[in-house]
Amino acid sequence: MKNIFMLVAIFISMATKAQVMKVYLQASGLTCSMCSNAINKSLKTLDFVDKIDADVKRYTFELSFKSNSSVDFGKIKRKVEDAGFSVSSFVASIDFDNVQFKSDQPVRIGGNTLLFVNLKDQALSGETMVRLVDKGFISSKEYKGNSFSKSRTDEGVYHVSL
Amino acid sequence: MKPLFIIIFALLSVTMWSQELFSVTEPASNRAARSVGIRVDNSIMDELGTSGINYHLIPEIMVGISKKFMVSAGIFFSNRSGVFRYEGGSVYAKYRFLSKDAVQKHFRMASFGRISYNNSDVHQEEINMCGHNTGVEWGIVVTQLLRKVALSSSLSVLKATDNGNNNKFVYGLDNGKAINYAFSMGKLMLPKEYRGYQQTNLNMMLEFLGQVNTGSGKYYMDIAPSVQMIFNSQARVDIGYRKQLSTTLLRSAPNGFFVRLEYNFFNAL
Repeated sequence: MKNIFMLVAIFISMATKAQVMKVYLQASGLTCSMCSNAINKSLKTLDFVDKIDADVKRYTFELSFKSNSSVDFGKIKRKVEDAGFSVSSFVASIDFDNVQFKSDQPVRIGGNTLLFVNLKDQALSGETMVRLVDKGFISSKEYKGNSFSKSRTDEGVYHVSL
Repeated sequence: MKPLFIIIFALLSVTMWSQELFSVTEPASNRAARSVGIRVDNSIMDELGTSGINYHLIPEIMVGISKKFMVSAGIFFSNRSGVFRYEGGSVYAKYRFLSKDAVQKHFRMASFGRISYNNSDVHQEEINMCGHNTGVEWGIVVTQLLRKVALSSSLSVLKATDNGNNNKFVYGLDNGKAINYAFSMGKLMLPKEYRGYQQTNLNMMLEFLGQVNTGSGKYYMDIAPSVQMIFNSQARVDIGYRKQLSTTLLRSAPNGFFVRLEYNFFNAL
C-alpha cells in the first residue's frame, strides 16, 4: 500500500514539474503542397494547438500549444493520418524541472505517459528533446528495426528516447 | 507517333516529378478525412463526321468519410441530343486498403466502384460510365509516389445495361462488358522549391487510357496530356486534350479538350 502511495506521489509531482513546450513532426507519404496543407488544416482542428509552423519543403510541422492545455501525442498522430499520410518522426520538446527518473518507470507529462527506453536513473532539467519510438510515430522501416516494437504497453503510454 | 515519343521522353527526362492528382483517372490515395471537394468537369469533344461539338458538364461533390474511404456523386449534363439537358448521374466510392509511406514516397492500393445512370440514347460501342452509359464499374488502382514522380495504374471491369428513357443497349448483351485500363504519369514543374502554401503549383500529366470489350474483343487506346495548376494549395484547374490513338470500337466523339475545376474545403465535416 505504501508503495502505491509513493508511486501516486511521484506521478503527481512529476506531472507538475514537466511541460510539453513544442512538438516537431515530419510527415511522410507526400510531395505536394496541397497534401501538406491537408495535414496543416487537420492539425489546426486540435483544441490544444496554438500555432503551427509548416515547412512545405521538408514536410515538417512545428506545433506550439496553448498554455495549461493537455497535449495529446496520439491525437496529433491521428490528425496526420486523417489527412491521408503518416508520421515519420515525432520529437517533443519538454521542459523538465529537475525531474528524477528511474529506468523502466513511466512518467506522466501533460496528458501523456512516457516510458524512457534508454535512460539511466538520472535527473532531467530544462528543455529536453524526446523522440517517440512507437509504431506510427517513426517510419515503418525504423519501427521494424527497433527492439521496443514487440514490447506492448497500455494505450496512452509512449516509448521515448532522448 | 513520333511527336508522342518526344512528349514522353521530355516528361521522363526532367528530374522533378510530382503529383498524382491525375486529370482523367483517380489515384489510390484518398481525400483527407472530413474534407469536401467540389469539382466541375467540362469536356468539349469533336463529334466525328459532323461539325458538331459535344459539350459534357459534370458537377461533382466529393466527401472524405475517413482516411481510407471516400465517396463522390456527380450529375451529367450534355448537349449531345441537340439541346443542353440533364442526362443522369453517378455515385463513386473508393477504399484505400494498402498504404506504405516513407518521406516523399508512398505505395498505395485502392479499390473503387461506380454506379451510373444515363437517360440518353446509346450511340457508341465504347462503354463510358461518365456521361454515356447506365451500368456499374469496379476496379483496382495502384499508385507509386517516388520523390516527385507519381505513377499510377488502374484496371476495372464495366458492365453496361440499358439506358434510361427506354434507350436500349443496342450492341447486344454479350458486348455490354468491358475492361478499362489506364497508366498515368504526373510531374511537378513549378515551384522548383517549396516555400509556402500560397505558391502556385504547375503539374504536367500524361495518361494512357484503354478499353477492351470482353464480348467483341474490340478496343480503343487514348492518350491524354494535361496541365494542372494548384492555387493556394486548395484550388485546382486542369486543362487537357484527349486524343484517340487507335480504335476498333465505334466511338462518336473520342477527341477533345477537357477543363476541370476543383476546390477543396478541409475539415468541412
